[in-house]
Amino acid sequence: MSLKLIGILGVLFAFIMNYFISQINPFLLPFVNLYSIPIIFIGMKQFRPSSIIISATAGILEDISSFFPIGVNALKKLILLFLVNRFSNFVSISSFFGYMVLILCSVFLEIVLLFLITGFFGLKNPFGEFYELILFQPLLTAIIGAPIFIAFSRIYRKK
Amino acid sequence: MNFKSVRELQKEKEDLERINLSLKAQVFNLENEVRKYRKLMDFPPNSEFDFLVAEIVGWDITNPYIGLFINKGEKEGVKIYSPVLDRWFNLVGRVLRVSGDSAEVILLTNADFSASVKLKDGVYGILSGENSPLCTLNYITDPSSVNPGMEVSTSGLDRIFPRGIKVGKIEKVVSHNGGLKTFYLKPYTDLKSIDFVIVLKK
Repeated sequence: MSLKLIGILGVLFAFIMNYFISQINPFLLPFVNLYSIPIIFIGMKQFRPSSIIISATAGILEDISSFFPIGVNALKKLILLFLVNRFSNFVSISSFFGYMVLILCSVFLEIVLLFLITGFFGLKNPFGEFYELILFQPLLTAIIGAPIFIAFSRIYRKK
Repeated sequence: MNFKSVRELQKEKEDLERINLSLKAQVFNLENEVRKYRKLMDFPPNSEFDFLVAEIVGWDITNPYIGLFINKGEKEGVKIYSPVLDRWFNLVGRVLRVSGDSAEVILLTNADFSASVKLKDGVYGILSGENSPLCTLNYITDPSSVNPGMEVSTSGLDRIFPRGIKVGKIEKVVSHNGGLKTFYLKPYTDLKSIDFVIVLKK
């Protein structure tokens, strides 16, 4: 399966899962960042126009489901894609724990980026007093994302 | 092919007419009940405001204390700044943006939300959200008279929210160096359990 297709399916999966989580309990939504999983995977493999389009789409979908001005999450996702692509070239990641650490660091970086972007545009701190989310979101996303990464890698290798 | 005799059809028609009549009676009773409850609730702007019920179709993905999306929009008469309440008429927030069939509601826990509130006769303040479960009260006219457990309702001075909508209770008062105090309010509305909201229309 091509990386483009994996990215598109990953973003669609994130969208559908977010919808189901919001139906069960919307207060679980901030604990996991499902949109980042396919973006980090794509960023780890390549940096091409198609991956930029998929990342921007994921960001815009995130913008639509949040109260940020359109573009804040898209910008965050594009920066994340670029940084993951730059830094993942320096390390060899192919194990479960390797993937976990990569996702953990990337999602943490994404939160930092969100703080910086919202601060730059004069928006209020989106997490309020939920500072525990800064730890929980990367951790839970890493736990959920690592098996998905292994599945993605197997599908990708079959090409 | 399934043919029915004239007698059978006649009977079926009579049954349907009977059902129709009983449904009409039910509608009439329910309408009366709604009228009675509206009167019972003694909602201050009763004569001035009409309301509509909207279903929650989504929440903010980053932090649900920021806002929610409802399935009623401009077509149904929802306007920007329309007050949003829960089923017990406790304050939930206000409409931020409206499109044809949906609207975005910022919750009272949103950091960009503020409303003028009344703590007791002659004591007013400004309610602000914090993007977290508790809200804060600022600019209180007589802070020394405010204690935990006091009930807070809208004052109507902001001309957005009608007077008398229940908001919440003072949960705690935190004193800082220099005599400054921060008043935290716990909203009455349980955001984790609401599934539909009431939007006030002028």
